[in-house]
Amino acid sequence: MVLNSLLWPISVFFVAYFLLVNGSYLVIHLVSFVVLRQSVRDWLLKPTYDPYRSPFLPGIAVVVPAYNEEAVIADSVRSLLNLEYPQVEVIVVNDGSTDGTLEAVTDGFDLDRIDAPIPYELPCEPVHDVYQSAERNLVVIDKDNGGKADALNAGVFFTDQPLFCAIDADSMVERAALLEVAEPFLRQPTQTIATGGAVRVVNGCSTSRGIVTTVGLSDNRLVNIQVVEYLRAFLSGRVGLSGLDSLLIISGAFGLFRTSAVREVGGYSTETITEDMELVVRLHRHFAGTDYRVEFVPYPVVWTEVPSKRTVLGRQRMRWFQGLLETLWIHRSMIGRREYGAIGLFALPFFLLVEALGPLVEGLGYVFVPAAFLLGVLNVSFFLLFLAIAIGVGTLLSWLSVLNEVLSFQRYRTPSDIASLLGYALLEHFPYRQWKAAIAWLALVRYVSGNAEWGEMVRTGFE
Amino acid sequence: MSTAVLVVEDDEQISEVLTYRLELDDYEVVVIEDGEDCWEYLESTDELPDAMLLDIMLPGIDGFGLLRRFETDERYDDLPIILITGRGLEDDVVEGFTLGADDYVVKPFSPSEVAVRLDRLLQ
Amino acid sequence: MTTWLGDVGIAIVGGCLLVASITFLVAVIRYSIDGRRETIRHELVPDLFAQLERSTPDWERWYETHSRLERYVIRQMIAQYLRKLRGSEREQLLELATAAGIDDRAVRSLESWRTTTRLRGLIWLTLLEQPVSVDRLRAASVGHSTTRAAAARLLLVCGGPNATEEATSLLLWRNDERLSVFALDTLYRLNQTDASALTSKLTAEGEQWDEALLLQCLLVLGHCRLERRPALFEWLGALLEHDSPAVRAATLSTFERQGWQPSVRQYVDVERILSDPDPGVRLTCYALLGRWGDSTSIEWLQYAVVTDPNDRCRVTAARTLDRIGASLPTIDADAGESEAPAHFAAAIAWANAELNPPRRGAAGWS
Repeated sequence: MVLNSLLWPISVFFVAYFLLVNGSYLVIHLVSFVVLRQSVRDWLLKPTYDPYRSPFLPGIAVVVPAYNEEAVIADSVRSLLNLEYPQVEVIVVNDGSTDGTLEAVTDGFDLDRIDAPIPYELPCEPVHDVYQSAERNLVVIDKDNGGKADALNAGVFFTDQPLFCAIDADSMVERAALLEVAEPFLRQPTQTIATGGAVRVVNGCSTSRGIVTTVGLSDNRLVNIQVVEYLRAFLSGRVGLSGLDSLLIISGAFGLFRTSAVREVGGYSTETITEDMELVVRLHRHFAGTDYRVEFVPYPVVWTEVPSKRTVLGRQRMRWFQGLLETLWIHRSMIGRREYGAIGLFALPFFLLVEALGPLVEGLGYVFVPAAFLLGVLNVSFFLLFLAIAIGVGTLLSWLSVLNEVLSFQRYRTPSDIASLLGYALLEHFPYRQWKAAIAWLALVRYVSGNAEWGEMVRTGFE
Repeated sequence: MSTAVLVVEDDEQISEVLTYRLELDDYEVVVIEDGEDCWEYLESTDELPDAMLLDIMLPGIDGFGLLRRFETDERYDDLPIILITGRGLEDDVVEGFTLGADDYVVKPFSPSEVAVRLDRLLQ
Repeated sequence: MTTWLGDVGIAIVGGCLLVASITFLVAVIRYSIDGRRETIRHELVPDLFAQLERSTPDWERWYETHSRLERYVIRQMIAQYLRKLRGSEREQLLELATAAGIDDRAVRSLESWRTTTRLRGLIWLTLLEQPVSVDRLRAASVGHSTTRAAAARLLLVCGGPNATEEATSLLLWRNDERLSVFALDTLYRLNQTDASALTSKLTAEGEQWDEALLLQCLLVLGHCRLERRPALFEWLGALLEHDSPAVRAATLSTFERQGWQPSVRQYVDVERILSDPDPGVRLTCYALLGRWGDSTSIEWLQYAVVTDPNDRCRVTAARTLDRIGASLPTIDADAGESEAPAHFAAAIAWANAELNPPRRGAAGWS
């Protein structure tokens, strides 16, 4: 009897929490619909000037941290040098690789060593040499290993360009993407400090010399689930959050920043697990109260390789989750505070309750509610409601993201691809989401016991 | 025998209009969209085209990069090259001529004008 | 008691399935329409080009013979090629646009209550270079900065009496709103050869504006040719002592291109500026001295390489000297042991060793 009277309110709590999580996602998705309809990208609405002939376009340094990227770095640099943007400088930071990463670039692009030390201090591990191309805007900074954040800092503090774009060495940037991700900077040159573009899954696409030639799905089920997951996170999640002035994450794989702003806050933190999220939160913290903008632009795309094995994916997700917890912990004093505007009042509480606690509470819910049902405490209707809210509304969110893709972006176009995506969206919420909840618990346990996970990814290289 | 012109341009709309205009003047037009493909094509062919219309921003390797490769091989010394590009800033034009281009047309352009320039260059 | 809960669950599932079916349906429809447009485009292109070559094509009839979807593709092709072509081909496209009724529609859309529709109308009119009366433009555009910029661009491409003044005042309609890069570019092209429209507004009201807007206008001015009006240079000279370092730097950049006039140089007190506490101001000054390039300027730069307290500024000064082919101060090899020369020796060594110094990015972004 006591058990009964306890299990019933607990079950109601879980259903309510699922309602909170999926409900707030739903709100964000609906905002994303409104935002996307407003910013409909019409072939006619392109401004009638030629950015290539305007003296007012900011130069961009593309900073590519590279640690043991021998297999992909040459292709990657080649495609970055051909981005459609008037003034691009590519800075590869060789972060103490133990393979032939450095030689792949210096030999492949005919670089010469500059016979002088960098004449100013870079806040990073010691730099050995700087290599430069006499013909193209390509520089390699060869330094001791210090991790990704440290490598990014080397580039950020080295460059003279007013903006820099952080890119992963293994991702492929669409040629037009740089100009598009710079769009908020061009629209509001004095206010914008950071923008991010969409990241999509390259596994399954055909590529040639660092450029995606045909978009398609993979043969691997786990990869395709992640395709849907990325669609949901970027095309609906971040569009919606950006529309609510609440963007907290700009993916490390594709973000554009005002160099002076990042230097002002001291660059990337080398102490954190997910330096990309931590930087954006710190920027919000530093510039709170001033007239600044951080925006997400869904049209420009980089394609990135995602893990195709569950163990690798599990490690990656543990790392992300621990990074989230850590960033929230570092900046806990901002949560709920009015002086940080939408960030303090909505974004951080949302990330705490939904992104961080959500999977944990969900994980318990998946154990408790079915158990209560089996013990006969809950009736069938209540259990169905639980399933509908937990899995049904979740699937609805993913399907809405696929709808956004169909209406606005159209990288996946054929009806058969769309049908598959709708199918994988179902799998994303059963059993993938439950698996992620378990991973979140595991990550929490390891984080608390001091074993942060640094899921290194093994690159297979482009085909 | 008709005169062969190689158009290296990744914007399909532009290569379409150029092809149409040049074919009216009985040129034989080959279009390549990628800089690296263009280099492979030129290296593998025994007979160079009679002239080349070259865009600067190309996938693979850009137009300036191709011009630099041409500089290192005397085989390309006599190949007339017109750059057709959206990059109209002074620095770009200077770089184009320095690297050995024979003419420079800035987009938006007139196809008829390109045809005349090409004609003059080939005489 | 709780049967309604089950109903809610079923309703949710039903809603989900509805979204899925809609998504799939839209995907199928879009895919087939896109495919048909692609085919149509392929068929129409040779036909369109053939018409462009004819001396007097009957565009109206040609346009009418096509279906609705084909006409959509034609309008799209017009918009695309208007951005890419000049000369006689463009003239022909303009006639086709008139035959397709695009210009009438664009003018009508200026009356719309929707900002996007008005913006679209303004963009079409700009592509068609079709003038509209200033009153009408104002009525259609003053509500929003994007439409104001588009209207100013239209005035720029169409020209006409007072176009520069009207367009400049549209761009600077509100003195508390900053300009987009597109608006900056338009302002620059309007005032490129004769900046009097911009300078008269600036000297009259500039100091009351939002500082960021003042800054932007000064940056634009830096790319324009200024009229030799002592009052203007006195005004700019006074701004060189502004409280904001960004304004000081931007003002300094307006002198960069005017330095060939010795009468202008007297307004710039180089010695004082070289001791400005803000590195940004000094960086701008080195660019200016590099552009002026006379022997005095070179001496100032050589002095700066050695004396500037900031690492980056010293490198910029050294690079500037290197770029204009002037000699860099030599490093005394014997002094290598002592501490003093090391800080500037690094800058000189770097400038000498560097192969490909970065092109200077657009000013005013940092």
